Amino acid sequence: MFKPALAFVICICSSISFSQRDKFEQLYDEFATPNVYRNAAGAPGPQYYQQQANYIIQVTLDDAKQQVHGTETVTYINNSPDPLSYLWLQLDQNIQDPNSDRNLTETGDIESMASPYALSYTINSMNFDGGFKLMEITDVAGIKLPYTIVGTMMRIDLAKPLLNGDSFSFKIKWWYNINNRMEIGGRSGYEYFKEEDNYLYTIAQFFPRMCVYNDVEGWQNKQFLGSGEFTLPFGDYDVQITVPKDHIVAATGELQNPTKVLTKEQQERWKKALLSEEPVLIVTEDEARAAEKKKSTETQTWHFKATNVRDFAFASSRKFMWDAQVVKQSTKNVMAMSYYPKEGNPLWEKYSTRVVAQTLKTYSKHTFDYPYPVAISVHASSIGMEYPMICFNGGRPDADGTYNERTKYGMMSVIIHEVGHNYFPMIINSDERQWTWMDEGLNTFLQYLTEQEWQRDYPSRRGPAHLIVDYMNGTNTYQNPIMTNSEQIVQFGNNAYGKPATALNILRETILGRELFDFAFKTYAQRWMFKHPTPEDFFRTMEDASSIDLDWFWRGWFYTTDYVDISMNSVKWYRLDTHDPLVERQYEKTIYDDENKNISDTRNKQDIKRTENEKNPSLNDEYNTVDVFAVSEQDKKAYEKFLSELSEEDKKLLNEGYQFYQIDFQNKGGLVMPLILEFKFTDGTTELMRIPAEVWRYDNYNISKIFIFKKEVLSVSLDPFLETADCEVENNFWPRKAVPSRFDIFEEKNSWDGKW
Amino acid sequence: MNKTKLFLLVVILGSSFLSFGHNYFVSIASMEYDSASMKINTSLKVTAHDFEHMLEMKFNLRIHIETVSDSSEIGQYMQTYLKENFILSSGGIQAEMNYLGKEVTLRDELFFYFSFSNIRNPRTVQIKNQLLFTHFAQQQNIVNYKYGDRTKSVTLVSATPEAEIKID
Repeated sequence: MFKPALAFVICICSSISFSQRDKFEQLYDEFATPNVYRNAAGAPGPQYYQQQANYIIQVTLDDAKQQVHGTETVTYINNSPDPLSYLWLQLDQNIQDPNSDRNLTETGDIESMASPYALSYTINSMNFDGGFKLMEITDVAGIKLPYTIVGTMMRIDLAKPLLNGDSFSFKIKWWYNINNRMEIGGRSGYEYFKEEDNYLYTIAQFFPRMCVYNDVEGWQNKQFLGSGEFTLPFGDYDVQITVPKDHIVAATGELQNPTKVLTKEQQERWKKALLSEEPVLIVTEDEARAAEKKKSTETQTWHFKATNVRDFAFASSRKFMWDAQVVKQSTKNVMAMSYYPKEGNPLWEKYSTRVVAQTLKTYSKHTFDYPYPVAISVHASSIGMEYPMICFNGGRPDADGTYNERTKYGMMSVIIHEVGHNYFPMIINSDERQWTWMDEGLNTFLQYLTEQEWQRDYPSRRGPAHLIVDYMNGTNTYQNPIMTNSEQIVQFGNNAYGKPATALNILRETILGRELFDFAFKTYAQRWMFKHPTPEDFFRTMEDASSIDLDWFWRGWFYTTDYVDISMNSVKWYRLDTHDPLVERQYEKTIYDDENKNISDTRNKQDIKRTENEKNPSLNDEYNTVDVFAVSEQDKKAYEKFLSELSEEDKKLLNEGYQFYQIDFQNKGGLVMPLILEFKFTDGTTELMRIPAEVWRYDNYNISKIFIFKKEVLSVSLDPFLETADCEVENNFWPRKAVPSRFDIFEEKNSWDGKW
Repeated sequence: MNKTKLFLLVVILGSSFLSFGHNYFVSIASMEYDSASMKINTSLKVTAHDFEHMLEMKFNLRIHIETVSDSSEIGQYMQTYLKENFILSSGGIQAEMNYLGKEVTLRDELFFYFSFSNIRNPRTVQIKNQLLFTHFAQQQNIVNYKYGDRTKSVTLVSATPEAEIKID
């Protein structure tokens, strides 16, 4: 129980201390100025442009030497207003070179060499002859072109500048050694299966690719150091992949020659799959097991075409089985497919393709219908890596075919996540080299929504506010703001995935509400579909489409490492002074009676039988005989006078029984957030109040606010639904309540259960 | 030179290549001083997969931590590993770690529960947390220490595995 602090009139202490509006300052200084390419609403401007790069590629996978050999003809179209005197290409395969900047700038002390695993990893990487071996760079007529290699990039100098609207074609011939992913890591590479001497290849970054040239960066000029992934222009691909005849190939795009590479039976199964909303096996486990027992010396060429994609990747192995189902959308049917070795079963045949289908459904609902013909999940041990229409995903049962629950959810989550990357950044083509959060954060957010639609109470790792709390908590100086370049983020997972995903979820659940958020998010997705958005385009669109200024939110969540800790420091109860002496004197007496009394006073009442003036009342005068709580004639007159001066409205107000509560809030963590308050009343009812974050706009750190009810408050809790990522919850209750820590709960449980 | 063998190499473990899943390499210790028992109660969250990797390298077995009991050989090793790699001192005296138990969640989180006793001065503690540093070059160990209503945080990395937390 808490008691009224004062029986006296309302004191409205609005807390205008001094100007501390910095957390609500607009982001004009941080944001790029809107222009003809990107407008102030966050949409592409009237002169928005983007470049195009089309590729014709012939590539051969050498299974005996684990090499890729390729030739490509690149046609680059300059849609920019600027004349280009040189072209830049990405040679991202070059990070596998032992002398790459990625390797040279890697830091670590000797401790990190202590395990045999780390040691062999290091030695193997050091001795691996990785990186592109460029054989020939010519124009289409076969004339050599001058070029310069700078780390993971290459400049080709043009004889004359490429003007707006013009295109330039050139040819490159190259090869490289494929890395053993299991020994030295890598987004692509191979896994070797020793028992049967077989390889499973997941091949990407396998050809020199055009850099992006745009209105924000000019030519992309950031070397690949291993974390900031790719930034690539859209284009059309025509790719012929030559592999051992017994291999099955999965790739970006549509297969052009199924009659050449599939058996009649497999073609029939494919036709069946086109109509089936359940997965249909096109290559069966028996066929895959038969294939992996012998090695064909012949080769065969798989031909794929893909339109309007930013990249191309493929997987190849004689170990693959393959299943597919159709996903029907109003604009287009899509084939959801999976390729996996027997080692992936029983998990993969049961879940992979179905999870791909669910991903397309949830993501499309929040963005646009999936525009590509296929969405593929390939099983590759230990990783998760995304490319247009195809991704490589881990999640492998034990050798005996059993799997634990964590493996199952890990596998499903990675598939949702990597398939989800088709939307961010493959179609909504943000610059990954600059801003990891723009694809990983947005994608992790939709991953969470997908997981929850797949299974109720799915154990999602990121998204809900309370899951980020232990990371954001405290005075940690070793954190980056979300708006940090991809190559220098510490705590990649929490910072580029978890925190932005949580921020979006908070925007959706708490700041904007689901309807407003979903509309704005979808607007962003549709505006930037098949285009190159920047962070400002996202921030501005979310505000423009919701009519809510979110600069304070972006500033706090994306530009600082502040955290949320809002404390309810005190609750004070006031009521109106009725001036009625009968009421007020009685009230004062109640207060007096309720107060704690000094122990000597109490004991003296017992021990001192009679005081001197009690023995001899003549010693009294009017000072020590008056009842301080009695109502005098004077009091009554004063009250009558008071009443006579009140209007009828005033009198009514006085008798309504209003209760006033002043709550003092303190912002301890730095992030301003809405106040979500749940009041419980003595009559058993509750009331929820949602107060926008702008309540902090005059004072970012300390505010008081008055709440008026006609009933008495029993308790108040702040953030009762754990939606604001408040790091310290003990100060969210009034009266204060001890909140058991995870340790306390475990200790309690285990003092009875015993250990396991 | 106090080491007999040194492998002086430039190239260390590559970055995490995972767009998803294995991009944590972080542990978070939530520590709180309990004035009644004069202990620092700790729950330590680490990626279960990463910890399993360390154990798999040590024991050359596929390990699912859910099935490892505290009394088994691997379970005992885990406790020793914690005691050797997570050290709290105060006033020049190393506090005693009392292991309570562990828990694994479907979010791939492994929680260890332990408390420290014999703490000279709970307002100033030195914490050394080298958990998994020898296995993952990018491993970072965050420590949140709460004393009264104050929480202070430090992040420990391989190069600086130790820090002092002082509550003024």
